[in-house]
Amino acid sequence: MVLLVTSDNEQFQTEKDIVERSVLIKNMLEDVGESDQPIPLPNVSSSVLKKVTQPSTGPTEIDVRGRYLSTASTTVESPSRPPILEQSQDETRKRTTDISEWDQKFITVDQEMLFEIILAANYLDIKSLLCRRWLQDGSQHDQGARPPEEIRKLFNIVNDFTPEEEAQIKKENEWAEDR
Amino acid sequence: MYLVSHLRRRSRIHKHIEEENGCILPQELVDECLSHLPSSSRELKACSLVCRAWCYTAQRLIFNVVSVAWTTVQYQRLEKTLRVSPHLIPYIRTLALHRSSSPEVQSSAFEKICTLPFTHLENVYIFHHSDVTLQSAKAMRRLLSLPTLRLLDIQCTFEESPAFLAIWDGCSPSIRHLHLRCRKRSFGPLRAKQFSVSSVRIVPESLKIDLSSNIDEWLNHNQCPIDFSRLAVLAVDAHTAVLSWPRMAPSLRTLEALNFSSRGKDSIDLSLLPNLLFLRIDSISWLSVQVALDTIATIPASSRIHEIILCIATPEAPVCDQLDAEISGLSFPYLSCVGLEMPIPDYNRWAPHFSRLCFKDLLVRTSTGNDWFETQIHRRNALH
Repeated sequence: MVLLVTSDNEQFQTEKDIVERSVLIKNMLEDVGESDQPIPLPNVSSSVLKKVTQPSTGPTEIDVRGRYLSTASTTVESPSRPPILEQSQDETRKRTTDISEWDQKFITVDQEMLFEIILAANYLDIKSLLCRRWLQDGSQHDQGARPPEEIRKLFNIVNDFTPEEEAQIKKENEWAEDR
Repeated sequence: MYLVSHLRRRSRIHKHIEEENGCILPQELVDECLSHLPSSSRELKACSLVCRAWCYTAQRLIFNVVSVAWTTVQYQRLEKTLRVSPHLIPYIRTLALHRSSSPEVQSSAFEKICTLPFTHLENVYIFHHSDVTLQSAKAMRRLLSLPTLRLLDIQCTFEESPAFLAIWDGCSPSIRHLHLRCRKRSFGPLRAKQFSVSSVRIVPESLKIDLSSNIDEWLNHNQCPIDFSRLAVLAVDAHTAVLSWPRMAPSLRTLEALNFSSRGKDSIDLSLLPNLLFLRIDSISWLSVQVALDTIATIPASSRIHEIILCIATPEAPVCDQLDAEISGLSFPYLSCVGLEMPIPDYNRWAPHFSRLCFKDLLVRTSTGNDWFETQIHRRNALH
C-alpha cells in the first residue's frame, strides 16, 4: 500500500498497482524505494484523486511489465507490413476496448470536475488512460468514437468550421477507408 | 486556508474557460491527449471535426503514417486527396506502399504517389511484388532521393539490372536505416559501366538483409553506393557470409548489435566484433544449437556484451539444458540478461530448464511481438 497526501491534506492508502498507473508516482516510488513516507500530491485535490484512483472494473491498459520487455501478446510476423504499422495496430487493439459501466460513470462529471481531472491526469502523467475515455462514445458498446458535436459539448467548444470546411475535412480523412 | 485556495482555484478555472474561446482544455493538453490515439482511429477522425485548433493536431496525427494498400483506387484516392489538400503533405512522416504481383495496381498510380513533393517524409516502406520496371524505378528514385529520409525498407523483384541500379542513383545520403529484401530474377553479372558516376553514398547505421535477397554482388561491388564503415546494427539471417565481405571489414569494429540465424552452417567469430553489445541468435534447434553455442564461445571474456537473446525454433529439453549449461558457464562482466524470445506460456514451460541462468538472475523473457531490428533502430535514434 502507498500513502498519498492531497492538496487539501487528505490521506489515501492506495494499492501500489493502482497508483502506479501514474508515471509520476511510479517514478517517485522507484526513486525512493520501499518507504512508509507519504507521497505529497500538491496539485491534486482529494475529490479528483478519488476519481483518478478508483479501481477500474473494465479492461486495464497497464502493461504487464516484465523485467525486460512488456507486452504479453504474440504478434505473428507479417513480412508485408512495416513494424511501425503493426505497432499502431497493436495500439488500436489495446485502446479500442468496450467502455465498462465504471467508465461510463467515470466520464459523467461536470465540466469543472472534468477539467480538474484532466489537469491532474496531466500532472500525474496518466494522460493516455484518461483522455481516451472522453473521446469514446460512452453511450454505446460498439467501440465507436464520440461524435464531434458531443466532444464540443463536453469540452465547451465552439464549432468554428464552415459547412464547406467540414465537408472538406471529412473527405480528406476518408481516403483510406474501404469503399 | 484550504477554502481560500479552493475558491481561487475555481475562479482560475472559470477564468480559463471564459478566455480560451469557451474550451475548457488548453491546446497543449488537447495535443497531448490526441497524441495517445492511434493514427487510424475513429476518435482522431472525430476530433479533426471538432474545431480548427483540434483539426490541425488530429490531421497531423492521422496523416503521420500513410499506408497505401494493394488497390489502384487507394493510390488514386490518396493522390487526389494530397493534390486537392497539399497542406497535408508535410504531415506525412511514414509512407508504406504495397504493390501486388497482379496487374491490379496500375504502374502510373504507384508512380504518381512516388513523385509527390513530400517535405517531411522520414520512413519509406515499399513492398513491390511485381517486377520493377525502369519507369517505376525512376519514380522510386525520386522518392528515395528526399533529403529528409531516415529509414528505407524495400522489398522488390527485378527483371533487369538497369531498373535495380536506377533506384539507387541519387539515393538520399540522409538514409540511416536500410532493410533490403531485393531479388533479381535473371540479370547477369553487373558491369562497372552500368553504374552511374555518383558521389552520393548512403552510410547506414543499421542494415538488415533478408535471406530472400540475392544482391550480394551489388553490395560487394566497389561502386555500390552503400558505405558500411559506420554500421552499428546488422541483421543477416542465415546469410552470415556477409561478415566476411571485404567491404564489410571496417564495420566489424563499429558493430554494436548483431542478429543472425543459427541455420547457417558455420559459427561466427565474435572476437572480431570488439564493440558488440547486443546479440540475437535466431532459429535455434537441436540441429543448430552447436552453431549458436560455438558462436557465443568466441565472445572474449573482456567483452562489453550486454544482452544475448535466444530465439529457439522448437524448444526441446536437451537443447534448453545445453544452452543453459554452456552459457551460464561463461562470464561476461557487463552481461545483464539472456532473453528467451517466446510467448509467456512457452516461457513458463521452458524457463525451468534454464535454472543456472535463472540462479544468476540473467534469464528474462523477450516478447515475440517486438521486432529486434526496429528495437535497435529506436535505440540508435534515442542516442542522437
